Amino acid sequence: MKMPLATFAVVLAGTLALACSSGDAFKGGTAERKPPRLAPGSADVAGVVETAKPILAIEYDVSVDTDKPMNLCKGTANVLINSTLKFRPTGKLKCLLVGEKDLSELFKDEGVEEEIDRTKVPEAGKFTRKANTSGGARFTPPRPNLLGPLIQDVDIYKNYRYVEESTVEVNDPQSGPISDKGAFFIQVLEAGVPFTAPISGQRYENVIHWEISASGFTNAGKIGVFEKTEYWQNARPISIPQIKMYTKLSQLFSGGMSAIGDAFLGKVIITISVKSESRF
Amino acid sequence: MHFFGAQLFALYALTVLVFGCGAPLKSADEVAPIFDNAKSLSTKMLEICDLVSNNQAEPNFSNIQFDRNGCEAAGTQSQDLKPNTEIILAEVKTRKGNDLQVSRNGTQPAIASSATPATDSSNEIAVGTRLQIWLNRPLLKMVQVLVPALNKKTEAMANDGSTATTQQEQSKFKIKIIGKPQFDQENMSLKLELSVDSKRSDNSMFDISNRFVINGGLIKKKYIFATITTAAEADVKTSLIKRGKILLFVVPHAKDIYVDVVTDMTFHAFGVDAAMQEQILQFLRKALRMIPDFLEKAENL
Repeated sequence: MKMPLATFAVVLAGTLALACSSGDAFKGGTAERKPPRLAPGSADVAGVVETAKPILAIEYDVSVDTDKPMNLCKGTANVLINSTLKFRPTGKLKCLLVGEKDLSELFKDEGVEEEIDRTKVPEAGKFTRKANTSGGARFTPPRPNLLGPLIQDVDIYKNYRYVEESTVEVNDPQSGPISDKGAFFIQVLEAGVPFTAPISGQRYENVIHWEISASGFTNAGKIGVFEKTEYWQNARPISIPQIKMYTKLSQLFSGGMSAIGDAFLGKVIITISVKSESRF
Repeated sequence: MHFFGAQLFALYALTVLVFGCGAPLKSADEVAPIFDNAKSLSTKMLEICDLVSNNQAEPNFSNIQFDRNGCEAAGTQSQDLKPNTEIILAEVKTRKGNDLQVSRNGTQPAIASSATPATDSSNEIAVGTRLQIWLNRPLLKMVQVLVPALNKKTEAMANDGSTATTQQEQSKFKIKIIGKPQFDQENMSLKLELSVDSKRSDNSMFDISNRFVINGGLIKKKYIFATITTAAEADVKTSLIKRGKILLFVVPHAKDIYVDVVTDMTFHAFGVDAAMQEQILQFLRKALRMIPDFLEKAENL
Protein backbone atom coordinates (compact mmCIF):
# COMPACT_ATOMS: atom_id res chain seq x y z
CA MET A 1 0.00 0.00 0.00
CA LYS A 2 1.45 3.38 -0.96
CA MET A 3 0.67 6.69 0.67
CA PRO A 4 2.10 10.18 0.81
CA LEU A 5 4.61 11.32 3.41
CA ALA A 6 2.07 13.38 5.34
CA THR A 7 0.03 10.27 5.97
CA PHE A 8 3.18 8.35 6.78
CA ALA A 9 4.06 10.88 9.45
CA VAL A 10 0.68 10.46 11.08
CA VAL A 11 0.72 6.66 10.82
CA LEU A 12 4.27 6.46 12.21
CA ALA A 13 3.37 8.82 15.02
CA GLY A 14 0.27 6.81 15.80
CA THR A 15 2.23 3.57 15.86
CA LEU A 16 4.87 5.06 18.10
CA ALA A 17 2.32 6.60 20.42
CA LEU A 18 0.38 3.33 20.72
CA ALA A 19 3.56 1.43 21.43
CA CYS A 20 4.44 3.87 24.16
CA SER A 21 1.06 3.91 25.83
CA SER A 22 0.85 0.12 25.83
CA GLY A 23 4.11 -0.13 27.73
CA ASP A 24 5.79 -1.95 24.87
CA ALA A 25 9.53 -2.02 24.36
CA PHE A 26 9.38 1.46 22.84
CA LYS A 27 9.29 3.00 26.25
CA GLY A 28 12.52 1.38 27.26
CA GLY A 29 12.14 -0.70 30.40
CA THR A 30 13.29 0.46 33.77
CA ALA A 31 15.64 -2.53 33.91
CA GLU A 32 17.47 -1.30 30.82
CA ARG A 33 20.88 0.22 31.25
CA LYS A 34 23.01 2.20 28.89
CA PRO A 35 26.18 0.37 27.91
CA PRO A 36 29.42 1.48 29.53
CA ARG A 37 31.38 3.88 27.38
CA LEU A 38 34.82 2.83 26.31
CA ALA A 39 35.57 6.33 25.07
CA PRO A 40 35.29 9.53 27.08
CA GLY A 41 32.24 11.74 26.62
CA SER A 42 32.25 14.78 24.43
CA ALA A 43 33.42 17.09 27.19
CA ASP A 44 36.51 14.99 27.67
CA VAL A 45 37.60 15.14 24.08
CA ALA A 46 36.49 18.71 23.36
CA GLY A 47 39.96 19.83 24.29
CA VAL A 48 41.54 17.93 21.42
CA VAL A 49 43.46 20.56 19.51
CA GLU A 50 43.64 20.08 15.79
CA THR A 51 47.00 21.25 14.55
CA ALA A 52 47.63 22.24 10.98
CA LYS A 53 49.17 19.39 9.02
CA PRO A 54 51.60 19.66 6.14
CA ILE A 55 49.88 18.86 2.86
CA LEU A 56 52.34 19.78 0.15
CA ALA A 57 56.09 20.38 0.06
CA ILE A 58 57.42 22.06 -3.08
CA GLU A 59 60.96 22.87 -4.04
CA TYR A 60 61.11 25.84 -6.39
CA ASP A 61 63.85 27.25 -8.56
CA VAL A 62 63.92 31.03 -8.07
CA SER A 63 65.35 33.44 -10.56
CA VAL A 64 65.30 37.24 -10.32
CA ASP A 65 65.79 38.93 -13.69
CA THR A 66 65.27 42.33 -15.22
CA ASP A 67 63.26 42.86 -18.35
CA LYS A 68 66.47 43.95 -20.19
CA PRO A 69 67.19 40.92 -19.64
CA MET A 70 69.78 40.45 -16.93
CA ASN A 71 69.92 37.90 -14.12
CA LEU A 72 70.19 39.48 -10.68
CA CYS A 73 69.68 36.52 -8.33
CA LYS A 74 69.47 32.72 -8.38
CA GLY A 75 68.43 30.31 -5.68
CA THR A 76 66.13 27.61 -4.40
CA ALA A 77 63.04 28.03 -2.28
CA ASN A 78 61.41 25.34 -0.16
CA VAL A 79 57.73 25.84 0.48
CA LEU A 80 55.78 23.77 2.98
CA ILE A 81 52.05 24.35 2.66
CA ASN A 82 49.92 23.25 5.60
CA SER A 83 46.26 22.30 5.80
CA THR A 84 45.24 25.88 6.56
CA LEU A 85 46.91 26.81 3.22
CA LYS A 86 49.39 28.99 5.06
CA PHE A 87 52.92 28.91 3.75
CA ARG A 88 56.20 30.72 3.97
CA PRO A 89 59.12 30.04 1.68
CA THR A 90 62.55 29.38 3.12
CA GLY A 91 65.85 29.50 1.30
CA LYS A 92 68.51 31.90 0.12
CA LEU A 93 69.20 33.78 -3.08
CA LYS A 94 72.67 34.62 -4.37
CA CYS A 95 72.48 38.05 -5.91
CA LEU A 96 74.76 40.36 -7.83
CA LEU A 97 76.06 43.34 -5.85
CA VAL A 98 73.98 42.72 -2.71
CA GLY A 99 75.24 39.19 -2.02
CA GLU A 100 73.07 36.60 -0.25
CA LYS A 101 69.46 37.44 0.52
CA ASP A 102 67.00 35.56 2.67
CA LEU A 103 63.81 34.63 0.79
CA SER A 104 61.59 35.47 3.75
CA GLU A 105 62.62 39.12 3.24
CA LEU A 106 61.26 39.06 -0.32
CA PHE A 107 57.98 37.38 0.53
CA LYS A 108 56.91 39.52 3.45
CA ASP A 109 53.25 39.09 2.64
CA GLU A 110 53.01 35.34 3.15
CA GLY A 111 52.96 35.51 6.93
CA VAL A 112 50.07 36.36 9.21
CA GLU A 113 46.56 35.36 8.23
CA GLU A 114 43.25 35.94 9.91
CA GLU A 115 40.13 33.87 9.94
CA ILE A 116 37.82 35.46 7.38
CA ASP A 117 34.05 35.11 7.35
CA ARG A 118 33.63 33.85 3.82
CA THR A 119 29.97 34.69 3.70
CA LYS A 120 30.64 38.41 4.21
CA VAL A 121 33.06 39.07 1.38
CA PRO A 122 32.20 39.46 -2.31
CA GLU A 123 33.03 36.63 -4.72
CA ALA A 124 33.23 34.18 -1.80
CA GLY A 125 34.26 30.79 -3.04
CA LYS A 126 36.01 32.09 -6.15
CA PHE A 127 39.27 32.85 -4.39
CA THR A 128 40.87 32.86 -0.97
CA ARG A 129 41.63 36.09 0.86
CA LYS A 130 43.99 37.30 3.50
CA ALA A 131 43.47 40.28 5.77
CA ASN A 132 46.99 41.00 7.00
CA THR A 133 50.59 40.83 5.95
CA SER A 134 53.50 40.03 8.22
CA GLY A 135 54.62 43.63 7.71
CA GLY A 136 51.51 44.71 9.59
CA ALA A 137 49.51 46.03 6.62
CA ARG A 138 45.80 45.46 6.93
CA PHE A 139 43.51 45.37 3.90
CA THR A 140 39.81 46.17 3.83
CA PRO A 141 38.24 44.07 2.40
CA PRO A 142 40.75 41.28 2.93
CA ARG A 143 42.75 41.16 -0.26
CA PRO A 144 42.40 38.40 -2.88
CA ASN A 145 45.05 35.71 -2.56
CA LEU A 146 44.68 32.49 -4.59
CA LEU A 147 41.94 31.09 -6.80
CA GLY A 148 39.95 28.22 -5.31
CA PRO A 149 41.70 26.54 -3.63
CA LEU A 150 39.48 23.51 -4.34
CA ILE A 151 38.56 24.09 -7.97
CA GLN A 152 35.99 21.51 -9.01
CA ASP A 153 35.13 23.08 -12.36
CA VAL A 154 37.79 25.15 -14.15
CA ASP A 155 35.19 26.30 -16.67
CA ILE A 156 33.75 28.79 -14.16
CA TYR A 157 37.06 30.66 -14.40
CA LYS A 158 37.12 30.96 -18.19
CA ASN A 159 37.37 34.69 -19.04
CA TYR A 160 36.91 35.52 -15.35
CA ARG A 161 37.70 39.15 -14.40
CA TYR A 162 37.21 40.90 -11.13
CA VAL A 163 38.10 44.36 -9.84
CA GLU A 164 37.99 45.37 -6.21
CA GLU A 165 38.87 48.64 -4.51
CA SER A 166 40.87 48.25 -1.38
CA THR A 167 41.99 50.32 1.59
CA VAL A 168 45.17 49.46 3.42
CA GLU A 169 46.53 50.65 6.72
CA VAL A 170 50.06 50.10 7.89
CA ASN A 171 52.14 51.43 10.76
CA ASP A 172 55.43 52.52 9.20
CA PRO A 173 58.30 52.60 11.76
CA GLN A 174 59.70 55.82 10.22
CA SER A 175 56.64 57.84 9.19
CA GLY A 176 53.93 56.39 11.47
CA PRO A 177 50.48 55.16 10.39
CA ILE A 178 49.87 55.18 6.63
CA SER A 179 46.48 54.79 4.99
CA ASP A 180 46.48 54.04 1.31
CA LYS A 181 43.90 53.27 -1.36
CA GLY A 182 44.16 51.22 -4.48
CA ALA A 183 42.58 48.39 -6.41
CA PHE A 184 43.18 44.73 -7.18
CA PHE A 185 42.39 43.37 -10.61
CA ILE A 186 42.10 39.61 -11.22
CA GLN A 187 42.17 38.35 -14.78
CA VAL A 188 42.12 34.74 -15.95
CA LEU A 189 44.16 34.39 -19.13
CA GLU A 190 43.58 30.68 -19.80
CA ALA A 191 41.61 27.98 -17.98
CA GLY A 192 41.82 24.19 -18.26
CA VAL A 193 45.01 24.14 -20.32
CA PRO A 194 48.07 21.87 -20.00
CA PHE A 195 51.35 23.31 -18.73
CA THR A 196 54.83 21.79 -18.59
CA ALA A 197 57.02 23.12 -15.78
CA PRO A 198 60.20 24.40 -17.44
CA ILE A 199 62.65 23.15 -14.77
CA SER A 200 61.15 19.80 -13.69
CA GLY A 201 59.57 18.99 -17.06
CA GLN A 202 56.48 17.77 -15.20
CA ARG A 203 53.25 18.19 -17.14
CA TYR A 204 50.11 19.54 -15.46
CA GLU A 205 46.85 18.89 -17.29
CA ASN A 206 44.34 21.28 -15.79
CA VAL A 207 45.99 24.64 -15.34
CA ILE A 208 44.44 28.05 -14.83
CA HIS A 209 46.84 30.76 -15.96
CA TRP A 210 45.82 33.98 -14.22
CA GLU A 211 47.19 37.21 -12.86
CA ILE A 212 46.45 39.69 -10.13
CA SER A 213 47.65 43.25 -10.42
CA ALA A 214 47.60 46.06 -7.92
CA SER A 215 47.21 49.68 -8.94
CA GLY A 216 46.88 53.00 -7.20
CA PHE A 217 48.78 52.12 -4.02
CA THR A 218 51.37 54.86 -3.53
CA ASN A 219 53.20 52.95 -0.81
CA ALA A 220 53.27 49.56 -2.50
CA GLY A 221 56.74 48.75 -1.18
CA LYS A 222 55.72 49.33 2.41
CA ILE A 223 52.60 47.22 2.22
CA GLY A 224 54.19 44.26 0.43
CA VAL A 225 52.14 44.41 -2.77
CA PHE A 226 53.67 43.54 -6.13
CA GLU A 227 52.65 45.37 -9.29
CA LYS A 228 51.56 42.11 -10.87
CA THR A 229 51.72 38.43 -9.99
CA GLU A 230 51.10 35.77 -12.60
CA TYR A 231 50.11 32.23 -11.56
CA TRP A 232 50.02 28.87 -13.32
CA GLN A 233 47.72 27.04 -10.92
CA ASN A 234 46.76 23.39 -11.45
CA ALA A 235 43.25 22.54 -10.33
CA ARG A 236 43.56 18.80 -9.66
CA PRO A 237 45.84 17.78 -8.09
CA ILE A 238 46.29 21.16 -6.46
CA SER A 239 49.63 22.71 -7.31
CA ILE A 240 51.22 25.94 -8.42
CA PRO A 241 53.94 24.90 -10.86
CA GLN A 242 54.98 28.45 -11.71
CA ILE A 243 54.65 32.00 -10.40
CA LYS A 244 55.99 35.22 -11.92
CA MET A 245 56.09 38.43 -9.94
CA TYR A 246 56.64 41.83 -11.53
CA THR A 247 58.03 44.59 -9.36
CA LYS A 248 60.82 47.15 -8.99
CA LEU A 249 64.29 46.67 -7.58
CA SER A 250 63.60 49.27 -4.90
CA GLN A 251 60.72 47.21 -3.61
CA LEU A 252 62.89 44.12 -3.27
CA PHE A 253 66.02 45.64 -1.80
CA SER A 254 66.11 48.74 0.33
CA GLY A 255 69.04 51.21 0.03
CA GLY A 256 70.28 53.89 -2.29
CA MET A 257 71.43 51.48 -5.00
CA SER A 258 67.86 50.28 -5.52
CA ALA A 259 66.47 53.64 -6.53
CA ILE A 260 69.25 54.03 -9.09
CA GLY A 261 68.66 50.45 -10.18
CA ASP A 262 65.01 51.19 -10.87
CA ALA A 263 66.06 53.86 -13.36
CA PHE A 264 68.63 51.71 -15.17
CA LEU A 265 67.28 48.17 -14.94
CA GLY A 266 63.55 48.75 -15.36
CA LYS A 267 61.13 46.06 -14.17
CA VAL A 268 62.26 43.14 -12.09
CA ILE A 269 60.69 39.74 -12.76
CA ILE A 270 60.89 37.02 -10.14
CA THR A 271 60.26 33.60 -11.69
CA ILE A 272 59.48 30.78 -9.32
CA SER A 273 59.28 27.40 -11.04
CA VAL A 274 58.71 23.98 -9.51
CA LYS A 275 61.67 21.59 -9.27
CA SER A 276 59.98 18.82 -7.28
CA GLU A 277 56.95 18.34 -5.08
CA SER A 278 55.80 15.86 -2.43
CA ARG A 279 52.31 15.31 -1.10
CA PHE A 280 51.33 14.24 2.41
CA MET B 1 9.19 -13.23 66.92
CA HIS B 2 10.23 -16.78 66.17
CA PHE B 3 11.40 -18.01 62.78
CA PHE B 4 7.93 -19.05 61.47
CA GLY B 5 6.61 -15.66 62.48
CA ALA B 6 9.39 -13.93 60.51
CA GLN B 7 8.57 -15.87 57.35
CA LEU B 8 4.93 -15.00 57.73
CA PHE B 9 5.78 -11.36 58.23
CA ALA B 10 7.96 -11.36 55.13
CA LEU B 11 5.22 -12.97 53.06
CA TYR B 12 2.71 -10.48 54.40
CA ALA B 13 4.97 -7.55 53.68
CA LEU B 14 5.60 -8.78 50.15
CA THR B 15 1.90 -9.29 49.52
CA VAL B 16 1.08 -5.83 50.80
CA LEU B 17 3.81 -4.28 48.71
CA VAL B 18 2.79 -6.05 45.53
CA PHE B 19 -0.90 -5.23 45.85
CA GLY B 20 -0.25 -1.89 47.45
CA CYS B 21 1.78 -0.82 44.44
CA GLY B 22 -1.07 -1.83 42.22
CA ALA B 23 0.82 -4.56 40.43
CA PRO B 24 -1.54 -7.33 39.35
CA LEU B 25 -0.51 -10.93 39.70
CA LYS B 26 0.92 -12.17 36.40
CA SER B 27 1.70 -15.54 34.90
CA ALA B 28 5.22 -16.42 33.70
CA ASP B 29 4.18 -15.73 30.10
CA GLU B 30 2.76 -12.39 31.11
CA VAL B 31 5.93 -11.20 32.82
CA ALA B 32 8.19 -12.34 29.99
CA PRO B 33 7.96 -8.95 28.21
CA ILE B 34 9.27 -7.27 31.37
CA PHE B 35 12.47 -9.23 31.01
CA ASP B 36 12.35 -8.71 27.26
CA ASN B 37 12.52 -5.00 28.03
CA ALA B 38 15.79 -5.55 29.81
CA LYS B 39 17.58 -6.38 26.57
CA SER B 40 20.93 -4.74 26.18
CA LEU B 41 21.44 -2.09 23.53
CA SER B 42 23.73 -4.34 21.54
CA THR B 43 21.10 -7.12 21.61
CA LYS B 44 18.58 -4.69 20.16
CA MET B 45 21.03 -3.53 17.50
CA LEU B 46 21.83 -7.14 16.65
CA GLU B 47 18.12 -7.79 16.13
CA ILE B 48 18.15 -5.05 13.52
CA CYS B 49 21.41 -6.26 12.00
CA ASP B 50 20.24 -9.85 11.65
CA LEU B 51 17.06 -8.80 9.95
CA VAL B 52 18.60 -6.20 7.69
CA SER B 53 21.63 -8.21 6.59
CA ASN B 54 19.31 -10.67 4.84
CA ASN B 55 17.66 -7.96 2.77
CA GLN B 56 18.36 -8.31 -0.92
CA ALA B 57 17.25 -4.75 -1.60
CA GLU B 58 17.70 -1.55 0.42
CA PRO B 59 17.72 -1.01 3.30
CA ASN B 60 20.67 -3.34 3.79
CA PHE B 61 24.41 -3.32 4.47
CA SER B 62 25.56 -3.55 0.86
CA ASN B 63 28.29 -1.13 -0.28
CA ILE B 64 29.27 -0.16 3.25
CA GLN B 65 31.80 -1.56 5.65
CA PHE B 66 29.52 -2.47 8.52
CA ASP B 67 28.55 -5.81 10.06
CA ARG B 68 27.39 -7.59 13.22
CA ASN B 69 30.51 -6.50 15.10
CA GLY B 70 29.51 -2.92 14.46
CA CYS B 71 26.05 -3.58 15.88
CA GLU B 72 27.51 -5.25 18.93
CA ALA B 73 29.67 -2.19 19.66
CA ALA B 74 26.62 0.09 19.84
CA GLY B 75 26.80 2.83 22.44
CA THR B 76 30.33 2.12 23.58
CA GLN B 77 31.61 5.40 22.15
CA SER B 78 28.47 7.43 22.52
CA GLN B 79 27.95 11.02 23.58
CA ASP B 80 24.96 12.81 25.09
CA LEU B 81 23.18 15.41 23.05
CA LYS B 82 23.19 18.71 24.86
CA PRO B 83 22.56 22.21 23.50
CA ASN B 84 25.54 23.45 21.50
CA THR B 85 27.37 20.18 21.95
CA GLU B 86 30.16 19.71 19.49
CA ILE B 87 29.63 16.58 17.43
CA ILE B 88 32.36 14.09 18.23
CA LEU B 89 32.71 11.31 15.72
CA ALA B 90 33.10 8.01 17.52
CA GLU B 91 35.14 6.57 14.70
CA VAL B 92 36.84 7.93 11.60
CA LYS B 93 38.24 5.79 8.81
CA THR B 94 40.00 7.18 5.78
CA ARG B 95 40.91 5.11 2.76
CA LYS B 96 43.11 6.24 -0.09
CA GLY B 97 43.89 3.44 -2.51
CA ASN B 98 44.93 0.55 -0.26
CA ASP B 99 45.91 2.80 2.62
CA LEU B 100 43.34 2.52 5.43
CA GLN B 101 43.63 4.57 8.63
CA VAL B 102 41.28 4.24 11.58
CA SER B 103 40.95 6.42 14.66
CA ARG B 104 38.56 6.58 17.57
CA ASN B 105 37.73 8.98 20.44
CA GLY B 106 37.24 12.00 18.25
CA THR B 107 40.81 12.27 17.02
CA GLN B 108 41.63 12.27 13.36
CA PRO B 109 43.79 9.74 11.58
CA ALA B 110 46.69 10.87 9.46
CA ILE B 111 45.97 9.79 5.92
CA ALA B 112 49.62 9.06 5.31
CA SER B 113 52.59 9.18 7.60
CA SER B 114 55.10 10.27 5.00
CA ALA B 115 55.17 12.25 1.82
CA THR B 116 54.13 10.44 -1.35
CA PRO B 117 55.27 11.17 -4.88
CA ALA B 118 53.35 13.91 -6.64
CA THR B 119 52.45 11.46 -9.37
CA ASP B 120 49.99 9.65 -7.07
CA SER B 121 47.15 9.05 -9.50
CA SER B 122 44.47 8.11 -6.97
CA ASN B 123 41.75 10.67 -7.48
CA GLU B 124 39.30 9.72 -4.77
CA ILE B 125 39.36 9.50 -1.00
CA ALA B 126 36.91 7.51 1.12
CA VAL B 127 35.95 8.69 4.58
CA GLY B 128 33.90 6.57 6.95
CA THR B 129 32.54 7.89 10.23
CA ARG B 130 30.34 6.73 13.06
CA LEU B 131 28.28 8.93 15.32
CA GLN B 132 26.70 7.43 18.45
CA ILE B 133 24.43 9.82 20.28
CA TRP B 134 21.85 9.73 23.05
CA LEU B 135 19.11 12.27 22.46
CA ASN B 136 18.44 12.59 26.21
CA ARG B 137 14.70 12.36 25.93
CA PRO B 138 12.16 9.55 25.96
CA LEU B 139 10.55 8.58 22.69
CA LEU B 140 7.08 9.48 23.88
CA LYS B 141 8.13 13.11 24.27
CA MET B 142 9.77 13.03 20.86
CA VAL B 143 6.57 11.72 19.32
CA GLN B 144 4.57 14.46 20.98
CA VAL B 145 6.76 17.17 19.52
CA LEU B 146 7.69 15.57 16.22
CA VAL B 147 4.21 14.81 15.01
CA PRO B 148 3.11 18.45 14.75
CA ALA B 149 6.47 19.34 13.24
CA LEU B 150 6.27 16.58 10.64
CA ASN B 151 2.69 17.47 9.87
CA LYS B 152 3.61 21.08 9.35
CA LYS B 153 6.49 20.16 7.05
CA THR B 154 4.47 17.68 5.07
CA GLU B 155 1.30 19.74 4.80
CA ALA B 156 2.58 21.55 1.74
CA MET B 157 3.52 18.26 0.16
CA ALA B 158 0.14 16.80 0.83
CA ASN B 159 -1.41 19.79 -0.87
CA ASP B 160 0.66 19.79 -4.03
CA GLY B 161 1.63 16.14 -3.84
CA SER B 162 5.15 16.69 -5.04
CA THR B 163 8.01 18.53 -3.40
CA ALA B 164 9.03 20.40 -0.29
CA THR B 165 12.19 22.35 0.39
CA THR B 166 13.92 23.01 3.63
CA GLN B 167 16.99 25.02 4.42
CA GLN B 168 18.99 24.93 7.60
CA GLU B 169 19.81 28.53 8.41
CA GLN B 170 23.32 28.00 9.63
CA SER B 171 24.53 25.19 7.47
CA LYS B 172 22.92 26.41 4.23
CA PHE B 173 22.11 22.96 2.97
CA LYS B 174 19.25 23.11 0.53
CA ILE B 175 17.29 19.90 0.76
CA LYS B 176 14.51 19.20 -1.68
CA ILE B 177 12.29 16.14 -1.79
CA ILE B 178 12.00 14.79 -5.32
CA GLY B 179 8.73 13.26 -6.43
CA LYS B 180 6.28 11.52 -4.18
CA PRO B 181 7.59 9.64 -1.17
CA GLN B 182 6.22 6.12 -0.99
CA PHE B 183 5.00 4.62 2.24
CA ASP B 184 4.29 0.93 2.43
CA GLN B 185 1.86 0.51 5.28
CA GLU B 186 2.04 -3.29 5.32
CA ASN B 187 5.78 -3.31 5.90
CA MET B 188 5.87 0.07 7.64
CA SER B 189 8.54 1.23 5.25
CA LEU B 190 9.27 4.49 3.48
CA LYS B 191 11.16 5.32 0.31
CA LEU B 192 11.90 8.83 -0.80
CA GLU B 193 14.40 10.65 -2.96
CA LEU B 194 15.88 14.02 -2.18
CA SER B 195 18.46 16.41 -3.52
CA VAL B 196 21.03 18.07 -1.29
CA ASP B 197 22.83 21.20 -2.48
CA SER B 198 25.40 23.36 -0.79
CA LYS B 199 27.32 26.05 -2.62
CA ARG B 200 30.90 26.86 -1.70
CA SER B 201 30.17 30.49 -1.11
CA ASP B 202 27.52 29.65 1.48
CA ASN B 203 29.07 26.94 3.43
CA SER B 204 32.48 25.60 2.69
CA MET B 205 35.33 25.44 0.23
CA PHE B 206 33.46 23.17 -2.18
CA ASP B 207 30.19 22.50 -3.97
CA ILE B 208 27.90 19.64 -3.01
CA SER B 209 25.06 18.56 -5.25
CA ASN B 210 23.80 15.00 -4.96
CA ARG B 211 20.61 13.04 -5.08
CA PHE B 212 20.03 10.60 -2.26
CA VAL B 213 17.54 7.77 -1.90
CA ILE B 214 16.25 7.04 1.59
CA ASN B 215 14.91 3.57 2.33
CA GLY B 216 13.76 2.89 5.83
CA GLY B 217 11.05 1.98 8.22
CA LEU B 218 10.12 0.25 11.42
CA ILE B 219 11.88 -2.95 12.42
CA LYS B 220 9.91 -5.27 14.70
CA LYS B 221 7.61 -2.33 15.38
CA LYS B 222 10.23 -1.06 17.80
CA TYR B 223 13.21 0.34 15.99
CA ILE B 224 13.79 2.64 13.05
CA PHE B 225 16.39 1.71 10.49
CA ALA B 226 17.12 3.58 7.26
CA THR B 227 19.78 3.74 4.59
CA ILE B 228 20.62 6.87 2.65
CA THR B 229 22.45 6.14 -0.60
CA THR B 230 23.57 8.34 -3.45
CA ALA B 231 21.30 7.82 -6.44
CA ALA B 232 24.21 8.02 -8.88
CA GLU B 233 27.91 8.83 -8.99
CA ALA B 234 28.49 12.55 -9.24
CA ASP B 235 31.06 14.24 -11.44
CA VAL B 236 33.68 16.37 -9.69
CA LYS B 237 32.29 19.45 -11.45
CA THR B 238 28.95 19.10 -9.73
CA SER B 239 29.77 17.64 -6.33
CA LEU B 240 32.65 16.85 -4.05
CA ILE B 241 30.76 13.72 -2.97
CA LYS B 242 31.27 11.04 -5.58
CA ARG B 243 29.13 8.33 -4.00
CA GLY B 244 28.24 7.13 -0.53
CA LYS B 245 25.95 5.45 1.89
CA ILE B 246 24.67 6.25 5.36
CA LEU B 247 23.09 3.88 7.88
CA LEU B 248 20.71 5.36 10.44
CA PHE B 249 19.60 3.40 13.51
CA VAL B 250 17.11 4.79 16.03
CA VAL B 251 16.70 2.56 19.07
CA PRO B 252 14.64 3.42 22.15
CA HIS B 253 16.59 2.20 25.14
CA ALA B 254 16.74 2.86 28.88
CA LYS B 255 14.09 5.61 28.65
CA ASP B 256 16.21 7.42 26.10
CA ILE B 257 16.69 7.34 22.35
CA TYR B 258 19.90 6.02 20.92
CA VAL B 259 20.86 7.21 17.42
CA ASP B 260 23.68 5.53 15.53
CA VAL B 261 24.78 7.01 12.20
CA VAL B 262 27.36 5.19 10.10
CA THR B 263 28.65 6.94 6.98
CA ASP B 264 30.88 5.67 4.19
CA MET B 265 31.39 8.42 1.61
CA THR B 266 33.77 8.62 -1.31
CA PHE B 267 34.96 12.09 -2.27
CA HIS B 268 36.83 13.42 -5.28
CA ALA B 269 40.44 14.00 -4.24
CA PHE B 270 42.60 17.02 -5.01
CA GLY B 271 46.02 15.70 -4.06
CA VAL B 272 45.98 17.45 -0.69
CA ASP B 273 44.49 14.71 1.42
CA ALA B 274 45.25 16.07 4.90
CA ALA B 275 43.47 19.34 4.07
CA MET B 276 40.65 17.49 2.33
CA GLN B 277 40.18 15.21 5.30
CA GLU B 278 39.79 18.18 7.65
CA GLN B 279 37.30 19.83 5.31
CA ILE B 280 35.35 16.61 4.82
CA LEU B 281 35.11 15.90 8.55
CA GLN B 282 34.00 19.47 9.19
CA PHE B 283 31.36 19.01 6.51
CA LEU B 284 30.22 15.67 7.94
CA ARG B 285 30.01 17.09 11.46
CA LYS B 286 27.90 19.93 10.12
CA ALA B 287 25.69 17.56 8.14
CA LEU B 288 25.29 15.12 11.03
CA ARG B 289 24.57 18.00 13.40
CA MET B 290 21.44 18.61 11.34
CA ILE B 291 19.83 15.48 12.78
CA PRO B 292 19.90 16.53 16.46
CA ASP B 293 19.35 20.16 15.44
CA PHE B 294 16.14 19.18 13.68
CA LEU B 295 14.98 17.33 16.77
CA GLU B 296 15.85 20.31 18.99
CA LYS B 297 14.02 22.70 16.69
CA ALA B 298 10.98 20.47 16.51
CA GLU B 299 10.68 20.66 20.28
CA ASN B 300 10.57 24.43 20.15
CA LEU B 301 7.87 24.68 17.52
